[in-house]
Amino acid sequence: MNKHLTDEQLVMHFYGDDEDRPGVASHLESCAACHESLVALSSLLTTVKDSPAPEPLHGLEARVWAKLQPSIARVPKRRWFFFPVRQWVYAGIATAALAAAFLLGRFSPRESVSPQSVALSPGVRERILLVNVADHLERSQMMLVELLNATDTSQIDLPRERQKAEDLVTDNRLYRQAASRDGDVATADVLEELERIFLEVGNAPDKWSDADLKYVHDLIDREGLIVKVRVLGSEARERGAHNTTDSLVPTI
Amino acid sequence: MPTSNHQMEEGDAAIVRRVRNGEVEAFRILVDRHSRALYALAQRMTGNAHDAEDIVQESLMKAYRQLDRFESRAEFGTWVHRIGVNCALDHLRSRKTRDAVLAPAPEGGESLPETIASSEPLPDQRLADRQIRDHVQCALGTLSESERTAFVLRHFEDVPLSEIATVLGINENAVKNTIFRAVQKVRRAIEPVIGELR
Repeated sequence: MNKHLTDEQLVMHFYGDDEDRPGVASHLESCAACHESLVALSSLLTTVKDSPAPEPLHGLEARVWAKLQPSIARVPKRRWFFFPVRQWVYAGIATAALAAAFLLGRFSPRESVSPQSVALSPGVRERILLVNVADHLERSQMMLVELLNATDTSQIDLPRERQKAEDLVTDNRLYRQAASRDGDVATADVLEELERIFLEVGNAPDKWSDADLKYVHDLIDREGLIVKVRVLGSEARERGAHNTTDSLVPTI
Repeated sequence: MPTSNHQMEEGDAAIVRRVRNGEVEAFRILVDRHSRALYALAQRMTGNAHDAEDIVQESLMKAYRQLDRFESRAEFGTWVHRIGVNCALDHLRSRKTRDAVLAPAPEGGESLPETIASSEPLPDQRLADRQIRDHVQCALGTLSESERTAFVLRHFEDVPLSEIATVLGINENAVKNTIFRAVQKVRRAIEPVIGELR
């Protein structure tokens, strides 16, 4: 090996991924220029590797635990067994009017427009986004209804539901983040409730007990989530259908 | 970079046993011990603080759900870290499909993080370290998704080429090329900064 080593050979040698490692090592012993190049590269890459890890905002562990605990702590408690599940459905419907009123403002015009909103507005991208959001909410609603209609675990195709949940959770997260960034707390809250259900189902164990199903029913029933999702979805679809370049800036 | 627990009063394995025996609140200890390492991994892979926190949450949820599958001979930190890598990869795949519709997050790696402009007084070395960290993050932001994934997995996580090839769906030679391109970009971005700081 008389020629100098290439940059690529040096990089691969640094990682131990070179094909002719003994040959490269032998060359490095006899070639001061290549040796010097490797020392410089190693120094830089080691500095990069040893650089401090990215820091989260203060309180990461507490935030993570606050989100995990409700799911984790539920196993030994299971207090929801004492409540007839369907009762929650009616309670949810009874609060639907309040929920709808609560959500009505989220597509309202805004006096100030965030940079993110400018990036999404106006025109076709808005429409595409709204239609995507509406589709996502419709698929979410269908899944919630399917789960709610199952009276026992034999009526659920768990692998299929799990796959659907995994597919939905990632989209849902992006929409939730967009809503949060845009200050649309109401929409973000609904999407967060949805996300929790998707995570529950997506991470469900291989065998689901009736207790697990009832817990998911409880999550869905709580505060009339299906109604909220339906209202959100239909409004997004309506806005998507009528949106023009000079129309309102969407909040999600 | 799984968290080492050699010096901890109670090892992860003992905590896992407590959780398995029904003391579910003990899982909080594992959350406290491993969240930051998971965050660092996720932040490097996604370049986005919100995504990174979501990935931490999802990874730990999956770990809890799959705790029965965890073999006590293994290191919990290594195991949960692996789950974190998979969650981050899933997240990147999904984000890719949405990029055409959603605007990029404001905290994307194209601009320097605020910490560079921070006037918070720090000892020189710490300031230099933080500046290097921020420039590394910025440099990672200039990489394509496959370059970033390959580089982070190989450089920070010591994942072998064969596994990266599987993850990216390309052959090992292509992985080598991808890592080389990434190193060149990182080098171009970092070299002048290190020269100034040191």
